[in-house]
Amino acid sequence: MEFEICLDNTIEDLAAFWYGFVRKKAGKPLSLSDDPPKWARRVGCFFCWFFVVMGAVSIANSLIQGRRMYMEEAGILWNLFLTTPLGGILEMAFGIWGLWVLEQAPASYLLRPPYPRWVRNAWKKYQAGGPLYRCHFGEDGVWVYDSKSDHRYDYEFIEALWEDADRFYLVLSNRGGSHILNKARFTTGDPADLPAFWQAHTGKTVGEVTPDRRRGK
Amino acid sequence: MTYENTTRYDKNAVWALTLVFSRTVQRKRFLLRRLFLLVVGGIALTGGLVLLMVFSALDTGSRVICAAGLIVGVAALGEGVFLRRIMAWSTRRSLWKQGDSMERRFIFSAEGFQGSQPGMETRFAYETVKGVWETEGYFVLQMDTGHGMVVDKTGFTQGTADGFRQFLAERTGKPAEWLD
Repeated sequence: MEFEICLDNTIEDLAAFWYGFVRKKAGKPLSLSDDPPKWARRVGCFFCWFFVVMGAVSIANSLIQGRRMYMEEAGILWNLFLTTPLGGILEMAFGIWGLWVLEQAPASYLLRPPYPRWVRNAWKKYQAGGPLYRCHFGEDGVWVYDSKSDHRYDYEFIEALWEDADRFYLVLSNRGGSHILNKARFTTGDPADLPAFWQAHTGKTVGEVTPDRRRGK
Repeated sequence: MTYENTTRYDKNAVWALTLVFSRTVQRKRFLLRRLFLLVVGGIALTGGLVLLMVFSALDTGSRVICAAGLIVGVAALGEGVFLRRIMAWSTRRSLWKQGDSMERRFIFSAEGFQGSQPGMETRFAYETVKGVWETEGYFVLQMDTGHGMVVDKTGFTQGTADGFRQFLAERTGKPAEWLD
């Protein structure tokens, strides 16, 4: 019996790994929705419009009052903002930029990152590291093929195999890292048969990833 | 022609690896780190010494700052001066902590090469080698900016170091650069 899995990971796979293994705080996973909550959008819009309106008022005020607003005790920079339209223009620009961000990028990180920082960093590294091609479970061990090299691991040197509803997580020895095996990407073999195959070759059972499991436990 | 080699990742081998990386691909990062440590160490030590000269006139808080400056200064200066040795020690320690066997068996054939240790093996194509360096006792193969392999010149069980130098240059297209 053999199993082969395409290792074409997505950011959702990395997020699932984070919730299962890296995050130290246990509990219900956060929603992965890209849409920020409505209240956050409303608050954002309010502040953006506030800057736009206040910018316009500042421009008008500086044009009407001009040098009469000059304050001796304030520095050059402050007086530049008070007596010229520069401050108002900057305020308006900031407000318009904020409105544009809200309009163009509803999942903007300014409001709420759609994924935890660890996941975003891991995704960047994953993309930069060159593609992983596939993982193969055979009689001679586990093979991991990537764009640069082929790695083979003996079963007795592999730390553990974990499972949740959609994925397996192959934890290699301490130095080899981990691989995410999405059940939907099995190209050879049935994911349902992998736990029995694993147990037959390693004598270890497949661990279950539960929301309350913590790293190292 | 096939070359087979067994290399122990002992103190000298890891030193060769650190030396090559810190002088070549990681040179900029290494120099910046060393500069930072020397500057911070120098400032902290100078400040600590100045305060030490008027130690008897200082209040308790300033005495604590003086002691901290001296400690930080000596530690940072020491790390800056011996940075390469500390990096080598740290690499070796981290391998040891990870349960590494500290020994690699390499087989270089015409098609590719493989490195193995108990429980795992890795096969590479020669195109993945980014650079080849040579020190007095070792060949160092750079695979990427943070990953390299050390081949002991005295560890060949098949072939010789001189033949291997030639073979590697032909297969990778990169002649070994000598580093003292």
